[in-house]
Amino acid sequence: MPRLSIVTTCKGRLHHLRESLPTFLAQPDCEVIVVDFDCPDDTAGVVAREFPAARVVAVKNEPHFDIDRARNLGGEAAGGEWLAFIDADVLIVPDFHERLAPEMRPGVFLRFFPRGRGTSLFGSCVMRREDFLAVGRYDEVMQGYGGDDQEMYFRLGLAGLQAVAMDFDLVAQVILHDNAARIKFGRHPTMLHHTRINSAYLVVKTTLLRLLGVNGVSLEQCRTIYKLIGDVVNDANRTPDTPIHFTIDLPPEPLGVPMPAWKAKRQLVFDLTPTELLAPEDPDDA
Amino acid sequence: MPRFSIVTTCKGRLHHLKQSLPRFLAQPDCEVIVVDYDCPDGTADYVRREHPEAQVVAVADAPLFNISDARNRGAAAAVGDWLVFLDADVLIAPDLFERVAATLKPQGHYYRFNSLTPELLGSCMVQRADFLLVRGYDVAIDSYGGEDKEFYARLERRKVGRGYLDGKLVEACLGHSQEERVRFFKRKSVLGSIRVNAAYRVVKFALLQQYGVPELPEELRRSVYDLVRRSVKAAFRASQSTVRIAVPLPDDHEYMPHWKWEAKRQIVIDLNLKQIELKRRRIMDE
Repeated sequence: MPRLSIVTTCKGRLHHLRESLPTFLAQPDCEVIVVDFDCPDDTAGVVAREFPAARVVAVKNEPHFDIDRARNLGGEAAGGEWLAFIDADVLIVPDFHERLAPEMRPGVFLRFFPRGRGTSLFGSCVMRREDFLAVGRYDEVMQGYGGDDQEMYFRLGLAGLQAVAMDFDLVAQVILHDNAARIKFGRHPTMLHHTRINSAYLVVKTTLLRLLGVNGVSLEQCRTIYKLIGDVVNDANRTPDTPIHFTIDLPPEPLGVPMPAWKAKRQLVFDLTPTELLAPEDPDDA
Repeated sequence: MPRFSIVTTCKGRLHHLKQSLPRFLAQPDCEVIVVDYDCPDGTADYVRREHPEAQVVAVADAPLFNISDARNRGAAAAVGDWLVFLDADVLIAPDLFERVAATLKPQGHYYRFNSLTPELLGSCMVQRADFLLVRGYDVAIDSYGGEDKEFYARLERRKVGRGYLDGKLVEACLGHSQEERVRFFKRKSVLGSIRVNAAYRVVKFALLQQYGVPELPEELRRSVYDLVRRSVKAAFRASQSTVRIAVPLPDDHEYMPHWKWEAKRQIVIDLNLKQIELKRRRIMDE
């Protein structure tokens, strides 16, 4: 069994994958898994023909790109002790695995801290498969672009794992592309729609997880919350850039403290004010 | 360096201490620290004269008793691996540590007495490192009761497990009246104190989880305690059995990149008196 499994996903990015895949396959003691998420470029077929050393997981009938589901499918199929999720637009150096190996120890996960240096690197990270499963995989409730990697890192941190920074020179090149390409297969018309909903969901979910524990919110509850936020953000009666307000009741669960005298009911109240106006980016206004 | 440090505090209980102190001092491999918390009985002088082998920590100008502060000051003077907090009215068996030493797990546990005697609830053994990790007892907790439970809950939250000491290791607890118990407290009602301090624990733990730290900053604790105390008092004055407490949650910039939203979060806690407390209250009101 290899020590490392590189998982990469593809939805309309075969031209990127052709460049990055050879850099993945060149790593020693490593398997490579390509998730073809109903990719219009026939990625599965091309990889099987031209890169037979890579394993392919293919999903059909998915018009929208769900990167979290794609990553989870790859991570579940992987056989390595460690998983490296690397986006198809990232080309890694030949000694990527060799240089990371000393850092790959229990109790940590590895990620980039881009700080303005190419957002493409946000999503690329390395974690133990065991930890990936223990914290509940990527959150498939989140749709569209942005925030899902942050959310995963939050849960890993909450579970007590330490984030170790990966060096930028582990990356040979990041292929540039624009935001239009990022949301081509998304559900919403603008980038801001995506990030607004996902960012509000992140605020709520991280608050809840801190109170209820890393596995304290079920998938069903996540769905309800994501829908609630989507409805509030997209409320037809609301002017797009006005603040939003909503409350969430917390389940009556043990509080971690002995409670003579009282029964407690807890509720979270959120007031979110947009910091970036939707109007200028809205295609209807253009 | 001794393995054990007994810390005992005194505020108007010299008559008890005179009986318990010789037993503390008879323990092998143990130092004894007596905290004279502005005690009107001249405890510091008495101990220095009669038991010079005990260490005295004298606190001046403290007309009201703060158990947490007294214990923390005693702990600050201790050098043993284990801090043993014993109340001045607890008469221990001469061979207590001998019998306990064999059963202590080397790491990750604290110990309470396996006994329902209320006088023993506040006595415990904790490793100094664990005590320091959670920053000791919470000095924001005022008047009678609950500082022990709150301290234990914080230890357990940091995965310091609960162990039990045989209640038979204590030969007797010297009783005292309710009046004696609250003599140096601002709040004279034991029930009132239990209610306020229990309510404070619920609010504090919600905040601890959000901040993700072993203990909150003292200033914040004091302001939260004051808010809880005033809220409970106001509800009782108005004969309401529900208390609503709303506390803002901290900004979390590390994992909540405030892209797209400026987020304000609050936790709202509704406390309802339990049935048994309602009955008690009716009896007291009549």
